[in-house]
Amino acid sequence: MPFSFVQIERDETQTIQWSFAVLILFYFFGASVLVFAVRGFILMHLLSNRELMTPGYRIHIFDWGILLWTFLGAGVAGFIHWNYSTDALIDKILWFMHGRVADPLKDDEKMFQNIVEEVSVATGGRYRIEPYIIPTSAMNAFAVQDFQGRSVIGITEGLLKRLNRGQLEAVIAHEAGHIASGDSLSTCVTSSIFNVFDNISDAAQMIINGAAYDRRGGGGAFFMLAILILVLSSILKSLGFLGSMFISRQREYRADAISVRLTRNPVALAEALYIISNRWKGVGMPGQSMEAIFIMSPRRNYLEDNEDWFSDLFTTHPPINRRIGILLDMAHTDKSVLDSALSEANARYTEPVSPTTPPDPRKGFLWMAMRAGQWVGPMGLDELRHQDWLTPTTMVRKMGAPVISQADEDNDLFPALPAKEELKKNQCPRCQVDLMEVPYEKVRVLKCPSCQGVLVKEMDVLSILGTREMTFSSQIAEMGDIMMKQPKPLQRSPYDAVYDEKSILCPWCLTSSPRMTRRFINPRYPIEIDKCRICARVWFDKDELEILQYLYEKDSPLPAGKA
Amino acid sequence: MVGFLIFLAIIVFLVLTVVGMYNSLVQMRESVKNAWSQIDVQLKRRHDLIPNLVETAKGYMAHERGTLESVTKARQMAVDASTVKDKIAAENMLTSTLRSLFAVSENYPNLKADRQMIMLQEELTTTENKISFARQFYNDEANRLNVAVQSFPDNIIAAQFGFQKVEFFQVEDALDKKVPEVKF
Repeated sequence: MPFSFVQIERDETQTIQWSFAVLILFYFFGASVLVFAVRGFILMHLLSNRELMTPGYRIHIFDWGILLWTFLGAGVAGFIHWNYSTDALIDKILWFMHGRVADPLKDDEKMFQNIVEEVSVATGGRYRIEPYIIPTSAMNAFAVQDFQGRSVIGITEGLLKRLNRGQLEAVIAHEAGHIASGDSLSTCVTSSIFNVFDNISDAAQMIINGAAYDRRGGGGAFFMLAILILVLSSILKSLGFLGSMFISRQREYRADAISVRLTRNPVALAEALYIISNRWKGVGMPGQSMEAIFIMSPRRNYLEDNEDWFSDLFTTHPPINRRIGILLDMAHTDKSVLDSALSEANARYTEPVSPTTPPDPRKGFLWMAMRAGQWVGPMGLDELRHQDWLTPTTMVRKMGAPVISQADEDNDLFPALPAKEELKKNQCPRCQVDLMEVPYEKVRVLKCPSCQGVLVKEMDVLSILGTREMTFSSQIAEMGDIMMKQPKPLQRSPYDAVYDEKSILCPWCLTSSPRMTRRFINPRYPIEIDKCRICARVWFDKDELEILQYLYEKDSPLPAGKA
Repeated sequence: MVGFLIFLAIIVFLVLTVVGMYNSLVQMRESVKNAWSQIDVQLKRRHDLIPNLVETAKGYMAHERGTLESVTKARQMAVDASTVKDKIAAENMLTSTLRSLFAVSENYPNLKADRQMIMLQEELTTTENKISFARQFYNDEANRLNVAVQSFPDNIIAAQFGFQKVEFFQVEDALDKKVPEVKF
């Protein structure tokens, strides 16, 4: 089958025309259902209040004039949507996933950049594709494109580190296939269609909530209408969702085909898919809700998936076994090649190994402790633990060690700390004083007046990072820079969460849940936070949140146009 | 009168068809030219990289003077080639000498570990790949033009206006392309 770029180009044009038609149809269908509902509703209202009707006036639920107007309206709305919906969309997606441009000074990222260029040459140089890196150890890749002609291929660090050149080339060619055939574009459009219906149903929801809230008589009619709109827009939304998933599965096969056509290397693509499917694909990674754009769905394991109409309807990606099977058939080989590729990939990238520190007898240690701004000591373990001013957050320094840390972070001191009383709700898990609610960067957080630690809802952390009202003192900046330069020696891989006797209670859930786990907020920033797995609240000790904000803002300046 | 109108309509239709065919032939010819210039860009890039490569390799493999010289010579030939046919031949020659250079360099672990060499090798690999992708694209476009030039009725117009078949950029030795192994 000659699958030339002329053919692909024709497909792209068709895809674009189709998605435009679908867009208009969506607006038309949505709008006419709404118009129909509103008119039916008014009619019902009039029928039940006969005195409102003037004799001789007739009202129809359906008439051609209205249909025409609805169609025109849908056309205009579709046109506006088409032109503006994808404005800065790529920046938003990349910002959301913490993407950054590949750095040509690093060997592997330079290779990635080169491969992206190679693939763009294979398309006759029609697409200038920008290479982006997503800093996570998950393994996945994606492509996005907008109507301004900008296209981006992103790959996660985890994948980049594990694939060899041929496999990487196959993956990138697959993504370029999505771009060349216009898939990335229509995905953008469909996802923005969902947004519209989302907004409509949100608005209806708000009206319903409002109406339920005032419970004044007479609002009933409006209330009913809002419920109707909510139901209809939800139905339309799910229909569109199913449709887009169905299309998406077919596209993955086609993108695989384009990849093979470009690289003539089906085995490399099969190996890459196999490697991805055997590792963490990125569940929980920011951006997993946009699963349709990835080479393999980040959500779950498709190895056991069936190929029938039911799974066709509910998944965005075809079963991985089938994809791999097709590719291996092309090369007349079988699965035996895959396992060696997998073990090679695992050997290529080793997780950061924890340096082993020999356990010292803690008897002989002496500590200096910070009391009201003064260093006191040195004191031995027994002496120090009986000081009544010693709290878990007291700063201590082990003699002979350069590190200053909190008392409960010191592994030798910790087991000797005084046992705590039972924590009460909304008390600081470290100082056991009541937390105070304070506004912080447009959200409300609970802050400890004593140790300055804060409890933040996890979803608010992103919004705090996104808000840039604060400026940071030079002290915070200095601490942040030092932390990035000399991260604490990793006791473990930066992706694990630790749960042990040092874990603190969640001030929100208290004993009704497991204790909070300690983990790095993000593999990129070595800031150790405590996170509750039940209510998804995060505890930051003093300055930790500011340092995180500082590092984040330094790392990712706002995309142009958002400042 | 009606007959005249029909006649006129046929004439207009024919003229429009001819114009359309002519334009699409022109478009294809330009796209072939463009595809060729893409290859040219990459070949130029390879020519620029080779002196660096030879310089770096010289320090480590003094005994392989012959191999290095043949690379330099092949590069010079490729740079000097003027016609498409010569160019294709010279570039194929260059590719095979480079390949033997890399094969020989396997024997020199110090060279393989050299930072400069690693970077150059990555650059050359990507350039080679770009060349082969650009060639693939050129051949696709050339194929489109060749089919159009020879098929009826475009061939009449092509002959009239001097559109000709273009040559494919073929790889000389059969070993050059890795064909997936076939097992039965």
